[in-house]
Amino acid sequence: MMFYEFALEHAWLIPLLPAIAFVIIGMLTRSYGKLSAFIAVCMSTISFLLSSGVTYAVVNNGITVEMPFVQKLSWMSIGSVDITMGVLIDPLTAMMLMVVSTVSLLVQIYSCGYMKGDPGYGRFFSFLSLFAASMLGLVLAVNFLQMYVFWELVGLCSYLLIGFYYYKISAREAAKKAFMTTRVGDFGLLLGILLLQINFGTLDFMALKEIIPAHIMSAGTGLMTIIALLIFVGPIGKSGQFPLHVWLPDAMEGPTPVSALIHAATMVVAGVYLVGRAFFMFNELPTVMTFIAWVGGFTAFFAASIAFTQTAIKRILAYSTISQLGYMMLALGVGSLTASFFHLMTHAFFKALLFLCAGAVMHAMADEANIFKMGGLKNKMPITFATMTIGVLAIAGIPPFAGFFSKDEILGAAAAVSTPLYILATLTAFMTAFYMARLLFVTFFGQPASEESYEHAHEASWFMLIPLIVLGALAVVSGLWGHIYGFGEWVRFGAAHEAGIDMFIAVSSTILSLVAFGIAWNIYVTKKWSSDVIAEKCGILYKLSYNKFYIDEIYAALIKVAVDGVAKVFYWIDIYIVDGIINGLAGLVGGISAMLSKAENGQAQHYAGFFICGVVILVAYSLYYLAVLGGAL
Amino acid sequence: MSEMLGTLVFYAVAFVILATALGVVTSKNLVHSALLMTACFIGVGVLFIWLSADFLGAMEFMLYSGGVAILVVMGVMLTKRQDGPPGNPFNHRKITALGLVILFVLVMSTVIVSTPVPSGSYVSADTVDALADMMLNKYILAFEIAATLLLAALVGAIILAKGDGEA
Amino acid sequence: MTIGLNHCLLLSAALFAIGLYGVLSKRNIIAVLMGVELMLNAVNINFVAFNRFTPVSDLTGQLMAVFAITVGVAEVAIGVALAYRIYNDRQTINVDELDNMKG
Repeated sequence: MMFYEFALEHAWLIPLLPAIAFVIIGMLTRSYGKLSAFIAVCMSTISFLLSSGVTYAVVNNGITVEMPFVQKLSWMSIGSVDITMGVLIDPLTAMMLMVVSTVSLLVQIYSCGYMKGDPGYGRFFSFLSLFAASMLGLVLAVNFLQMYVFWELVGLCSYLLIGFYYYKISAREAAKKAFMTTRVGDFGLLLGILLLQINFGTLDFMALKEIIPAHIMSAGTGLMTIIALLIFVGPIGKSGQFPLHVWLPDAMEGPTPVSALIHAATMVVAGVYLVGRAFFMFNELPTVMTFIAWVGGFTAFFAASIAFTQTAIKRILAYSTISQLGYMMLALGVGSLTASFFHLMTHAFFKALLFLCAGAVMHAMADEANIFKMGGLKNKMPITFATMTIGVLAIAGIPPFAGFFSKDEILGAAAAVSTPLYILATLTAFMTAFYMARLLFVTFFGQPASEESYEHAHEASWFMLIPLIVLGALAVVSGLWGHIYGFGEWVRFGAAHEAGIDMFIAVSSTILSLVAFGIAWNIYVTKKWSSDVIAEKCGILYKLSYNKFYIDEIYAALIKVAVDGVAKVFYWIDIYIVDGIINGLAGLVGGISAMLSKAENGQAQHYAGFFICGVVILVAYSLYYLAVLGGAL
Repeated sequence: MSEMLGTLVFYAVAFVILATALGVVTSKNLVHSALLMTACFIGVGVLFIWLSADFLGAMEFMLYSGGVAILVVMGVMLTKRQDGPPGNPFNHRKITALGLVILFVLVMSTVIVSTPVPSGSYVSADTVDALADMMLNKYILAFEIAATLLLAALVGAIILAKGDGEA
Repeated sequence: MTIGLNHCLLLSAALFAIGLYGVLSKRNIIAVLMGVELMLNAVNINFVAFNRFTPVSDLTGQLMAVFAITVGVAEVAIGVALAYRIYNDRQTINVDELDNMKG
């Protein structure tokens, strides 16, 4: 049997291997850091190889979106509800498997260097393995329930990893915030799933694919719109769409490799993947599609405008992630699954690259996060500088880097559906180019802000550089490769997607990006224009952006009013009604037990006597019941 | 064995069992109690044989009137407090307990007498074979669990009797 | 009069009652244990008698008695060990002096 056939038949091994690594590390080798890292990387490598095999098999065996490869196993049956687990492999899955396993493998290798000397080294790798396992399991899910299980597992892992430095209060708070915020979304998702089960009696993707369009044909869109909106609440939470995006920037409290993993390849794209997987449902509902498109478009623009003014390197990247996820949602909303997933793939590579570069920079600067306290690093860290530049060019959409092709697809898809959305997306692209250029220029060009830390700065170890180089290469070629080799023929919904470049869109967006680069160069490198003056002129806008539009404060105030009000009512009830009853009961019980305790003298024989008394009474009563009352037992 | 003789044997055995059992409870000397208990077990063993359960009768002789009796006598010996025969006094609940027990006998006798007896009987020609067969086939799980229980009791008894200090 | 099930059951009830009396009224823990043994034997008599005098087809009743004897023996072993331990710890084996369970 060829390796790829084996991989296809045993695709369930892909999530299982990292899960095994998690168990082994968690239970046995946690305190041996190097061994733990070795186990984790080995398992990830094998599952990466299997993923490659699966992808090859998909191409070789001609598995298409219409004819997926499915393996199912009955998990449990409760009454008439049959719950199955299994693997569903189609080009979508294969692509996600490749992206997730590649990035998580590279991040694990990077972590070998990054986490060196951390007391929680082993623990970190066990969590990373669990994270990879959950995400790979989610990708392979055959039905909504299996997906939900892994979805929650992913959420749990992100909680564990964001709160990895649990001794820091800010990390604990951020972990809680991430967990609670995504929980709001998960609740909607759960409701949607339950409604699906109640109405259609199945959660299987392949079955629903047949049922739902038929249902909409016969019964209209009313019910399905509600279900689809509820399900979409899940991705809003998980993929950091407005208004549930607040957890994502705070998630930067975790170690940087975690940020790369969460923000590039895994957790946040789970939402996009869910919408893509259930696209057969969303595609039938124009209202919901419009809603998704506008949520995505607004999120993209909104997050980009916040990223403008942030100073912490990881926060800028976090808002840029939110913005790019908005892009993907926008693409889904305008009906182009191909564009969305193409961007998902390229984004996974260049965003992981950017985060890992940021990690290398922070590592070199003794964990300094403020970009204005860096500067001039291009001579000290040439490889990091080169790879970071590639990442920035990719995200800004300069040809021939990866982001250019995928962004162009999205812009094209948006232009075909709605001009306002197209303009919004183009504006966002311009802003993206500007703030990414700002990040790059401030960090690597100009004069060092602090001589001491500049002297201290150094290039990272090879463990960290190799993933950077690999990701850098991917960020260069993945877009062009996908463009040439017909990404749209495989990952698509409905008819095959023709890869074509609309010259007007391509040229205009490239020019805009270059202009943004030029402005950033003038402000931050040559200092021709003072950023302070600009900030002053913009006044309120600058303040709004700098304070992230006060979203966190608004939430805090809302929650304070709501929670405090409810709490006051409950406090009164608790003091006067609940306590009253409880105290009364307690007094009653106390009185009775004081009486009863006289019968308890602690002697076993005494108790045995009472026991026999009880038996005799019971037997006598049943005798009476049978013989005198004539009853039947 | 004629029916008359069978009846006679039953009453004789029943008398021995009850008399020795009463002796166990009322004797003032604990060692006497233990000896009477052994006699009582022998009576029960004979009753088993009378009920054509010969394997059980043999077990009763060996385990109860052999093993348990020795264990109890050793217990008496190990826990002796003063010189002279170990006493076997009643506690202050003697009268209440007697009343309760009489009540119990009355109620149980009423139950037994008033319950219709199913007619029919079963006598196995070879109890040992039949028991072994059931023990190792149908009731193999119970058998294994009993074995585990014995092991646990053995270990538990050793640990309990050994005490803290004597590791 | 033929001896039947009822005779055996009455005998066992009487034996059980005597054992019970011992359990309830003796001070010495070993004597209490002996009472428990008498009760266990009464139960075994019931098993065997039911097996003998009812229309059954196998020796399940006797087998249950075998298991009951096993458990009974284990119980004596543990009981005597406990008595010895209590005697070592408190220099007494009088049950009515052991009232640790008093709340």
